[in-house]
Amino acid sequence: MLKYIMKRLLLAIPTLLGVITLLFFVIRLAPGDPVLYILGDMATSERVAALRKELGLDKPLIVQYIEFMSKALRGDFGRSFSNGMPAMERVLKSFPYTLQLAVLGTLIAIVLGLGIGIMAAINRNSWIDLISTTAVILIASMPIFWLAILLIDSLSVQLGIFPVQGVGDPENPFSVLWHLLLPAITLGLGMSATIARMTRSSLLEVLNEDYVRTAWSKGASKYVVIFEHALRNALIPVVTIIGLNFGYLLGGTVLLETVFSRPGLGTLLIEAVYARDYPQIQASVFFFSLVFIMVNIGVDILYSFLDPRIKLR
Amino acid sequence: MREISRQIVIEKQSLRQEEEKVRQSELMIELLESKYFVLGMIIFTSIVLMAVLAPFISPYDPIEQNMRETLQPPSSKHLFGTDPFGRDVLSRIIWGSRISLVVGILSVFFAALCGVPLGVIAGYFKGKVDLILSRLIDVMLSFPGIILAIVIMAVLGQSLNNVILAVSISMIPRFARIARGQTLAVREKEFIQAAVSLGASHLTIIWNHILPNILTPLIVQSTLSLGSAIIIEASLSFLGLGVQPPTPTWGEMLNTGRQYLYTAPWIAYSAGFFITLTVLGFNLLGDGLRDVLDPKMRRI
Repeated sequence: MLKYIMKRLLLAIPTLLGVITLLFFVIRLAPGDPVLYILGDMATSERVAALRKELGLDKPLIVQYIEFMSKALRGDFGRSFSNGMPAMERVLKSFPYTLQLAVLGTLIAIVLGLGIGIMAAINRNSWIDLISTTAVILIASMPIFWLAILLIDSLSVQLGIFPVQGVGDPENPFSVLWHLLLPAITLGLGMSATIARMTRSSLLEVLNEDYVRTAWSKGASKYVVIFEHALRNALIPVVTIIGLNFGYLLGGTVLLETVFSRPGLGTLLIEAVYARDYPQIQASVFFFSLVFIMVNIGVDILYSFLDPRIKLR
Repeated sequence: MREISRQIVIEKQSLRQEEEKVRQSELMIELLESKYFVLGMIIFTSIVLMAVLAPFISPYDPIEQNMRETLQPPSSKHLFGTDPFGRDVLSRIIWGSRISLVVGILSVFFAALCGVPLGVIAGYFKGKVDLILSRLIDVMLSFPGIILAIVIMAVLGQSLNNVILAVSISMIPRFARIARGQTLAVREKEFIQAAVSLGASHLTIIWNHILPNILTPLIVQSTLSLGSAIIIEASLSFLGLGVQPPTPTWGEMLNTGRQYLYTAPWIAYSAGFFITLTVLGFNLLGDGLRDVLDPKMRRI
């Protein structure tokens, strides 16, 4: 097991090097001179030359690349053009907000998705199944920011249950949770559609298996058959779907942080994009992909617990 | 003797053509029997008609501002109301369908055009080629799609072409991954070994034997990807990183509508409804196609 985790972590290194390389070259594709962008068109040529030297842009591309790579591997992505703070430090400061949203969103998605999927599968072809299947197809077709606007309009504006935006009073955990709830529900609802769909079809498939029939004929109760025999096996593809949808989740946080005016990695990235703050863009995107890769490894490891047949190679 | 064998070959060929025709018409009937496919087709056709006929059916100019009629609620004059610049929301919805469809269709086309060869080459040649290409796909996959698109737009600047490029690039890996997986499975089949032993070139094998056999999942993936592409485009416009205003796009309308949710909810609701309807149409089409073309994946 430990060997497998080590191997997966080692294999992630070339991917991360690739990510850094891609980020280095993608930013170099930008039209215009970043130095002129920072200093403005009116800068004197001495100032331009001095800043170019300071940023290391006067060196050959390959030297710049090696320098960038060696610094990036130590977590140093340079300083933000906007406020001069180290770019990675700003990322680490914003991350807890995104993490809260992602974790609570995932939990809500799992509870809702499994609940709806199991209900639909048990009551196959009934009105519960029809309503939940229709709702799932509809939600899966909605952009997450539209779902957010719908929920804000109904639950915050019309009913006044949740605050419209912001993170609340950091000193008051209740206020923080209260402000987090609606964005997390939106994220969870959006992601639950795929989970519900997969749970339903996977559970229906498993309910046809011989061992489930055996369990029924033994006289086991509905609860025991579904939760102890069928669900455990039906969960394997569901875990895959949750893992695969983590990208959706991260993308969703970017959009939701904008809609709900919350701080976080997404807001940091979008602000950096508007300001053409390249070091900040590089650091934020690098961190996003680092989280993404780590979660995927985590999901793969989780498989082995759920299904001992899957050999970790 | 030679004449007889020639005749047998011709008969066999026509028999095969007959069989193919029967199979195709059976497939057509099955597709038409699928509720999902038919509903998806109706939505898709309506949206395409709306986009194509935009100059004829749009009641107003979608860009022209009319400051005397700002934020008007829906009425017989403006069916979907007006926006903060007095522009007719219905006209902007109609013209906005063009951007959504053009970006959706072209970016899926380009993503498939780049992704499929990548995946097929990786799966067909295996070994070192696969190792290198798979790493490349992994790197692209390690960015969530929308984030990759945001970065590309940030670097290249806002224009329709750049939106198409950004959305295409963010979708290349999913095509590459499916094409690779399918190729790996097909290349072990006997008919490929037969083609190899007959001395067929790699290109012939890939073009004549591999591609036709991996087409089904790719078609399904393309249809489902159209929905995702439209959502990514709308997200970019929503964030102010898509096609530049005043060009009407549904995502930009949603962003404007969000700021006027209290006073003019019709802006956000119209745009949100049409994005959802279009994506729903493509998702239903994809589901219907998958049910019919790939019975193993059929929804139970």
